[in-house]
Amino acid sequence: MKVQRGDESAFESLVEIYKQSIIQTAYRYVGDSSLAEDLAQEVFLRVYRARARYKPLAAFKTWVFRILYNLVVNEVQARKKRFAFSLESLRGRDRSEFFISDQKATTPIEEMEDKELHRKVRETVFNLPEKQRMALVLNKYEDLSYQEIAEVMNMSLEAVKSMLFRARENVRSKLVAYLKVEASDEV
Amino acid sequence: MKCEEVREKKLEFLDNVLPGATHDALDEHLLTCTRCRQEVTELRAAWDILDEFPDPTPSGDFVQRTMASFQKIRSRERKAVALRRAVLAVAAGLILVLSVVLFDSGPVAETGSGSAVADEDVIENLDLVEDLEFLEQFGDDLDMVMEYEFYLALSEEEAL
Repeated sequence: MKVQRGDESAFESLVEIYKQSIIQTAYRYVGDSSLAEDLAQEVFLRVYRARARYKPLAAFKTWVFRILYNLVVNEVQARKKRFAFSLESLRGRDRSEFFISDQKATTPIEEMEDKELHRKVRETVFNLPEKQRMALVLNKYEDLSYQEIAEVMNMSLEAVKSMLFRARENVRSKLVAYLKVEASDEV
Repeated sequence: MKCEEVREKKLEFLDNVLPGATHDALDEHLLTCTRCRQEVTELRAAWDILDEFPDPTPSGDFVQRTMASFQKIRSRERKAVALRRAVLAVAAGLILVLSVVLFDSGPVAETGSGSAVADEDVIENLDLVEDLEFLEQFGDDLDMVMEYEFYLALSEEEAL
């Protein structure tokens, strides 16, 4: 409400509260920490610009993630167009290579990338189809319910369940070699 | 519960969003079905292993940069509001000036009644108008008319 009135300190508090979630989600979708921060910043500015349109009826978190989702989808589409000329050279390579562009190894993320399991998990997530990836990220890392994900992605509840199901199956099949489980494990 | 149903419901089972009775029925099935248990266990383990995805840490100046952009937007918004107000003030001033000009322009305002007065004059001097129409019939031969008028006047005098 204070943000809706243009209160600067309220806006700053909002950035502080949501920055981690927004940056992480953007990063897990686009695979580039610098781009993720740019997108996150744009999300906050869009939230401010659209403050008059926000209805308290909608959960704020869902509304913010919806803005983020639209933004990252557009960004990925734009990137695809920009790189369309070199699609031939991308053929046969992991899609994760397409997304991961920051290899500076200066942030904590890059430092951890050396670990094989981390690398494999990242690769698995980045190689998921885009919608599955977003649904999984929102569900797994942001703890959004199926209904909230449906609102963010503007999809039906059933479609979200179906996507999450396929995403989990994909993750399982890609990471099966890393799973230390036995059928006799407790369920 | 049958294996097919377990396959349909295992996602919700893993997320603990199934109704209690359904959850328990699925749980019970897993105790006896090795294949389903294997699938569910792997899915759960795969889900857990996703925790290994490293969390990106925002740059230290992220909030500062965002607030700087916010200030720019707010400054632009304020300028836009000021401009809008200025345009409205100018528009209101123009309307006021036009209203005064229109109100003060008497002849324009009296055109209707003036026209009525003129009409009355015409009615009152209808004879003259008829004469005028008569004269217009002669066009360039006005001299002839003058002569005719002179002749009439002379005749009247002679008659007297």
